Amino acid sequence: MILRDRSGSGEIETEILVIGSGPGGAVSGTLFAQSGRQTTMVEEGDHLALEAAPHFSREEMLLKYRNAGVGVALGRNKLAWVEGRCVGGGSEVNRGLYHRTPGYILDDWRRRFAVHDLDLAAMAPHFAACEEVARVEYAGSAASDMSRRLQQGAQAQGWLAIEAPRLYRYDRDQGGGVKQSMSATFVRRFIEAGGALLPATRIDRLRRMNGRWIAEGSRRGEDGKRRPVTFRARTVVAACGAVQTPALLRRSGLSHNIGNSLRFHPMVKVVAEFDRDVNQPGDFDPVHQVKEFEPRFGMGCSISTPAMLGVALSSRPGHWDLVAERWRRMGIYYVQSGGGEASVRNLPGFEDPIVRVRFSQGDLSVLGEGLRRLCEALFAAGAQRIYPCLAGYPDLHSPGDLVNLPAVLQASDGSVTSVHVFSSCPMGEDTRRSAANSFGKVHGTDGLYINDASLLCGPTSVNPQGTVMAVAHRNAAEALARRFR
Amino acid sequence: MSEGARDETDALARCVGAIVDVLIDESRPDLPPCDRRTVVDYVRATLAAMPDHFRLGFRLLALAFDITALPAHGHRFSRLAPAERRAHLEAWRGSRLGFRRSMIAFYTTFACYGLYSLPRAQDRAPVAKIAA
Repeated sequence: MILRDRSGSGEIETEILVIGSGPGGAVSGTLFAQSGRQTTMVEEGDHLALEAAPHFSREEMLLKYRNAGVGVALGRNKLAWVEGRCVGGGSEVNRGLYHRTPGYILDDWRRRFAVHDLDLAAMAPHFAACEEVARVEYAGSAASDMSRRLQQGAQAQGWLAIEAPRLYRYDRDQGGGVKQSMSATFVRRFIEAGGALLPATRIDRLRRMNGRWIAEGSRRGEDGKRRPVTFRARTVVAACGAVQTPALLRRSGLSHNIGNSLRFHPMVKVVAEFDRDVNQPGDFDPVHQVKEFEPRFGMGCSISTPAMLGVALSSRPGHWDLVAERWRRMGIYYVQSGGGEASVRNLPGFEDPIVRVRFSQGDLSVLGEGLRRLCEALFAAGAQRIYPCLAGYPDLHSPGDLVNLPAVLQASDGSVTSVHVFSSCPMGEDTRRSAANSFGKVHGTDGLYINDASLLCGPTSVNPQGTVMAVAHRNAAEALARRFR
Repeated sequence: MSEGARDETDALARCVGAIVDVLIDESRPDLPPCDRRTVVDYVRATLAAMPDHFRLGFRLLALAFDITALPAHGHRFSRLAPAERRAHLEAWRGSRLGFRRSMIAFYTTFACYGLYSLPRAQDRAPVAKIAA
């Protein structure tokens, strides 16, 4: 597709401008382009092959993560989070664990935020449509021992535990597979449908002029230098992620319920050491999860490479020898809740927004209880020793040691983390609580939509990518049906 | 770049390199210089890419860390002998001031990640599969 530069001044005219190419932007842009609309999708990061860097490597952190993986929400209890910044966004760097949104979550959002047409039946076709493009599969018998240990421990406790499917096509014969990230699925379809993709392009500000949106930003050239770029569009879809979308809108003078209610799935981790090898080179990413206590808290198994284990144990003297000798017997496990609430604000003179988070005592109690339950499951699974990844917490050698764990989480810096961020600009007809209407159109504007994780009305309990994709599909289909009115 | 700004950048680079060196010595004193350089470069690249408001804060903290070695040790941190460097870093790691502990925790996390990401002889062949 050829973009029209109106005056040779770097101003590009397009019918629809989608800002961001993660799960929300990629799905929206693809639907618009396939409907024949002239669509431009810009992405701040680069367009990189899935194999441009080994998954979960230091090179990947520098290439594909926003701010090289450094994101810290400030507050009495800080929270560290990560986001993708490349074509495909978070879908390029996560494991692709997939769930449809639980019905009780959608019902809760519909009631509290007055969201129209939001329930499991109405969403089912949108989930199905996304799963047609980005395939979802179970590992089944190929799942790793480390992953199964969590399920076995939970079952020994009589708790519900499942295997989560992934956005992944397993090749069990070769021990590999193909990740169904956005760059491998929707973004390809977007380009095939004639959409224009512009990586390395950042939008700083939006303004309205003569019935059009003017999006001003910069584009990084091959020499690494940024040059100003301006887009003129009838419709703009902000899909920059739950932190960058409110930051962009607030920079553009839009602030009603924008950036006030950012939510996470805050997570604390432990390393469990077993009596024999559970962690082998070449294992598939872990997939088992404990559902017994959701929505209060859930549990799962993290990527447990030697590098990840080393970081998890880095506060312990002698961690190098410990990991070198025993990493194959170790796995990293987590408990996550939906507690805490954060704000997103811009600081004068700085490009990156600042995030402040607050946890209540109740939030920390839930995580404290979850941590104890997680350790119970791991001991039931045969763990010989458990190392909580929290400064000041004792190593645990038997279930009897669990009485030494504080009832309320006492979190040190870096011990509460998250890989899921959402809800900074919730949707709904209740304008006292929402930033956009039931389908993502920003209240009080024309032609401006949000269509990413920002719109979710609260934590999903489950991995949110499936929800983000399906909601984006629903909203893009609705916008097309209404001809963006 | 002005002369003053270049001096500050050089001082910062020396200080960060020295901090990472001490952290490497805590677990891998035998690490070859080329691997040390890889870890230091990774930490510096992470610092360069972090959010701009944190980057400013970390620059100031690193310079403060460098200079606060003067009263106790008579030299900036980056010019101290290894044992004195360790003592100064331990003082900040155990400080009652949260920002000092946070700074050392940050460098520890990323230095460790860089260190553990180095290919290890016994794992060299299957490394790509581990990461997948």
